[in-house]
Formats: sequence, C-alpha cells, structure tokens
Amino acid sequence: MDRRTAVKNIALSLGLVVSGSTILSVFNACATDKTVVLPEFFKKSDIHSVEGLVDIILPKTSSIGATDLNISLFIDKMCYHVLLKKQQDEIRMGIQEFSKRFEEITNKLPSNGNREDYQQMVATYFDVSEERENAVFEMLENGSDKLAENVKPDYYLYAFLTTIRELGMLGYFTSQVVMEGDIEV
Amino acid sequence: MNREYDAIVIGTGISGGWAAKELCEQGLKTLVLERGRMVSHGDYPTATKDVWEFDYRGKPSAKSNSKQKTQSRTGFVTQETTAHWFVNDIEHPYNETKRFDWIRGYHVGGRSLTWGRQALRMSDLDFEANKLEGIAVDWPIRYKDIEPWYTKVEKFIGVCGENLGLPHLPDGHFSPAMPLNEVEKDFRFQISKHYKDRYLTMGRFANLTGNTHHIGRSNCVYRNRCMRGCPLGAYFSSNSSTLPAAERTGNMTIRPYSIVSEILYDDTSKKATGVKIIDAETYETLEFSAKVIFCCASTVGTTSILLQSKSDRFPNGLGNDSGELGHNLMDHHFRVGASGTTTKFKNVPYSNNRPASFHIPRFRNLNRSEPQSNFLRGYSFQGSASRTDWRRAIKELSYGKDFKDDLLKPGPWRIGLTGFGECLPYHENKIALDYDKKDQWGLPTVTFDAEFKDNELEMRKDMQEEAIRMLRLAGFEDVKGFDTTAYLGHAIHEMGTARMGHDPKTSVLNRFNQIHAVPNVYVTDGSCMTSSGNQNPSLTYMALTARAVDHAVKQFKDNLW
Repeated sequence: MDRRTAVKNIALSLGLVVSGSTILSVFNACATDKTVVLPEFFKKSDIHSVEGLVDIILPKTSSIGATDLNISLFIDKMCYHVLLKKQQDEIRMGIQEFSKRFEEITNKLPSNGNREDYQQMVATYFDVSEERENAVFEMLENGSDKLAENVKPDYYLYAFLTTIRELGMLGYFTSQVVMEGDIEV
Repeated sequence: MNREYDAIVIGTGISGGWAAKELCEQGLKTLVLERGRMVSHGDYPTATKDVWEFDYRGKPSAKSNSKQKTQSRTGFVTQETTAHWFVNDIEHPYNETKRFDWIRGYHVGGRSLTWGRQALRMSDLDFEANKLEGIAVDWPIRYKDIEPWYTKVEKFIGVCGENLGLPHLPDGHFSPAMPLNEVEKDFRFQISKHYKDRYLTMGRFANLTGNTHHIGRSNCVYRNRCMRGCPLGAYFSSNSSTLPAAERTGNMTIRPYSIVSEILYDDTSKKATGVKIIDAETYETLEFSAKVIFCCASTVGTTSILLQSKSDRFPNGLGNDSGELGHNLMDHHFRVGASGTTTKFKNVPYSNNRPASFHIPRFRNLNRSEPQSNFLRGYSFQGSASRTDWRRAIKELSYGKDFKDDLLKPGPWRIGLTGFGECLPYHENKIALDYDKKDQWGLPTVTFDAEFKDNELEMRKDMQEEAIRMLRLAGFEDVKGFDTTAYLGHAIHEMGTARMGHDPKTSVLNRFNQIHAVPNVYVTDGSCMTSSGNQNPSLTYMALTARAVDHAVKQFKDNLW
C-alpha cells in the first residue's frame, strides 16, 4: 500500500483528526517497516541494488549496519527530494550501467543477486589504485558534458556508486542511534 | 496607528537595532520599520533540532533550492537549519551586469541573527589609508572619534577576546576569550617562534563569556548553532539585545512588512519630513512623519531607497549632489588560504563545538617606512583546528568493516585558515536601479556592476602563499592551498555606495553620518563606509550608529529640527 494511503486509512479507521506531527510519527513508524514504504526515486527492482551496495559499504558487524537503519530508503528520499534534475538523470543512467555490468560479471539480474554478488561488484569498482581513485573523482568533478562518449558509461557508473556511498554515509553517521553511540548489536 | 514620530529607523538589523535602542533610550518616540516578517527573540524554529530531526539531514531540498538559487551560492545559508533566514530569490529579484552574490534576510533582526559575530575594531591604519595613498576620498573621522563608541558597543553586546596591544587592531573591552585547542596553541607558538610581526589570537566574538550581566541573556554554552538563533541570547543580535532594550523604554513602535519606497523631502525646510511605505502584505501605501530619519536598511537597501527618493531638488536621488550615491561598492574577498593535518595531539581532550575561530591579524603593509608588498592594504586570517569526522572519507572508495569502524572514531586533526582581504573603493563598482524591471511592489530592481581588480587578485596570491608557508613552518602535513574564485557579495560584507567624506562634492555623508544637504537624515549601515579595512565590519557600523544617534539627539533636543 502506498504510505500516504496507509496513513490516511489509519487515520480514518481511528476517527482521528490527524495533525502534522501525528502524520510524521506514523511515517517514521512506517520507515522501520520495509514492507510498507515504497521508494519514490528508484524502481522497486533497483532499490534491491541500493540495499545490496550499502550492506557491503556499511555492513553489520559488532555494530549495526546500514540495513539496520533502512538506509536504502533514506538514499531514495535524498535522491528524490535533494538531488537536482541533472544529478537525478545521471544516477538513473548510472543504475542502468550498474545493472548491465552486474549481469556481465555475475551472470544474474541485480534483483536476484546475493551478498556475495554485491561484494564482488563493490570490490571490482572500489578496490582500485589510489591513482585510479583520484582519476575517478577528478572525472566526476569535471562533469560529463565534455567527456568522450566511450568514457561516459564509466562516469555514470561512478556517479551512481559514489552517490550511493556518500548518501549512505550521511544517513548512517548522522542517524540518532549512531550519533548517540547506541550501536552495539 | 500613529503617523507622527520623533524618529524613524529604517531597518532592524545590526545598525537599525542600535539606532532604535539609542533613540528610544534618549526619550525619542521612534517608529522602527522592517520590510520583512516579525521575529521575536526565541522565534528560532530550528534552534534545538538535532541533525537527524531534519528531513534531509540539513541539506536543502531541490525544491527549496530552486527558490534560493542566489542565496545557495554561499554553499551554506540555504541548508535546512537556516534557509528560513534568507530571502526567496524569485520574490526578491535583482540584476547582475557582473556577478554579485546578494545574500540577505528580510525579517526583524535581519542578518544580525546570522552574522559571523567577529567584532574587530578598525584603526588609523585603515582610516588614514585613502588619504595617504590618494585613493578615493579621505575618511572624515579618525580612530579617536570612534574609540569611545567602540567601547560602548562592546560593553553592551558582550565581546570575548584577548587584548594584544597592536596599534592596527586596537584593544577593546573584552570578556575572557574562548580557549584555543591544543593544536591551535601549538600553531600560535610556532608562529611566534618564526615571526616577529605575526600573532595568533582567539577571535573576538560577540558571544557572552565571563561574569557580566546582560539583561535577558546568558553565557554561551558552546552549542555551535548560532546561525539558527540562540534561545539563550548568548550571542548578540538585534532580537536578543537592542530591540528588547528599545522595547523596555516604551518609546518604540515596530512595524514589520513595511517596505520604505521613498524618503519624503521638503525643499522649503531643506529637510526630510518622513517616509512613504508600502505594506508588503496589503500593498497599501502609507506615510509616516518624523523629525529625524535613520537609514539602516543595509548597504544596498539604504542606497536603493535614497536613489528612489527623487525630487526637483534631488533628481538623481536624495542627497546625491556628488553623483557618488550607488558607487564605490565594496566587499571583503576571502575563501583563499590553506589547510593541513597533523598526526600529533591524538590523545588530548577536544570538542569541535566552539562557536569561534582563531584570528591572525593583518601583517602586511603595516609600516609605510618599510618596503611595501606589490599590493595596497592587507588581510587577516581566520581559521580553526578540529578533529575530522566521517566526512573525511567522502572522496574515497573505501568500504566495509574497517572503513566503518574507523569512521566511528574521530579522525586526525585538520587545520584550515582563510584570508579576509581589503577591497579598494572603486568608483566604477556600483549599483543602479532598473525601472524597466520592477518587483511585485512596483519598485525598481537593483543592478550590480562590480568586480575585484588587480589589487585584490595580487593580494590573494600572497594570502595563499603565506597560509601555506605558515602551516608548513609549523610542521603541518599534507598542506594544500586553495583559492575559490572571488565574487563581490560572497563575504556578505557589502559596503560603500553612500560614503562618508569631508566634501559634499565627492561624498554623500558627513563626519556624523548625516547626508550633507539633508542633515536630519543619517545613514549608518554599511553603505557609509569610505574604505573597507579587512576587519569584519559590523562592530564599526554599530559604533558609528551609536555615535550618530548621540549627535542627532543633541540636534533634536536643541530644537534644530
């Protein structure tokens, strides 16, 4: 169910006048329930990729990981509401490129990928030399407009991967539980 | 509502608040006009929010940013924490012949709510420079004229800091300085070891420390959220300090949503008689009269009002006999300097929440008998050292358990310093009104045509080189210089356009901030500045305002108006 419909239905069933803060708290409650909240920016099939990536980038260890905090949905919200149109377009191109390479490397669809597959993908594109890492960020800073066509797929791929990584870090490290140090599993 | 007052103050920011307080405390019935909404002390909606309580963890949404495109050029003011203190650029348009970042807030308190709080005195090195170098016009005042007013202002607003005994950065009335951390203390020691003419001191900030009682305010508790508004009133703003003081007298009438469209002039008496306003909400036009008018609407705001105030006597704007009204626009240039890291001091206690930075006062061109740099005037540095947080890894491709565990701990110390450089007053740097492009109230929009020139660009090279050199000498590692392209307005220290001077033929205001030809109109915001110095200017605006009110009240009580 769409979460807005869900909130409305809850309110109607209880016969309540729903205040802004009540709506907020219901939304927050929904945010911990993956079955209710639908992504706004990513397709349902793509949110699986985002979840798979942040689980490798910020894994659950002796402390909570990104999946414990539903960071993939936070990333979705940020992509939808905060990124500018051009950035959104680049992310969409990027996830297409990611999906294509996922299939090439794992012989699976991203939606069927398991943790090992995502581990392999992250290692392929993140375990690079310092030189390559610097070149990637330089390419991203310069933007795609003047890039040769044959380099653009790499640009979009890394625009997607680094955005997921950065927004994942933002969501995780600025969450209440992490900032208050309540992170032991 | 009463239409007749002793005094009218246009604007409620750092200058307007002071004009209101001083006029009301001297017994004048004073109407205080603000073009934006009402904000009472404590009306700070984000002041107590933690980062996770913001929808986008503080980042501006694309929707809100689309309404604040110019404001967002700063890179920080449009965050969720403070966006409500800055204008909607669609509702408040302006024009740029050359890029000018006009960053402003239309509400009671204006930018006094969001100012950087650095309170630095100017000196005779600044007040004499134009005359000695043959630049623009001479300031009609010297340090001795403003010194007692600096002290008066510092005592009321509360400034913490350290006296150094430097003639070019005069001592003041300070409460105890905020502490330097261990890295900054070491940098201070290294600077003293390597240089005879350079000092690192804690910045002089208008945040309360020490034991002095300030009505309705309490000491800073290091929340480091000053720009959101402080419920404790721990830093000085019009809202926490001057406007409540004016209110306590019973002499103040404050009217928000009042856009002054014109200062009314009577050629028989040769004086201003009042103001015409447009109610920002109802679009109704109203007139108010007074015997004295203080223009404190900000540099560009005030000069726009004066340019709009045309009459047979002043066809080019009120008081514009010299033709200088709108000219000599200045701003400090900054965002040039260096940063570095250190692996030392890993185990010392620290906090990143001190709402203040260190200060390295000007050291260039201090003595005219010694060889000068290849640019005129000088700059100072502001900076801080802090432990890095998770953001240190943004520009990496690291991931996994070790990455996460590492970022859950504080990172190495990083130190950064940026220069604040003086901008010379150039006649050709100007604002003008465009009557073909009007705003929703039918008023002409402002067009900016100003740029930094060779002197500022040469200075910036030296600023970066010296920042790098000092950090390297002090033993910092990974030292990197930076120089972000400088545009006027970006430092939010716009100054000039109605300068003070001796001669009515070359300046707009006299030595008491009166319009030469209209003596019951005072201009005491940034527009009055004859040169910019390198110091954050708000303390000077406040001191000049208090001094001008003292002069105005004497005239008023002597029935000269």
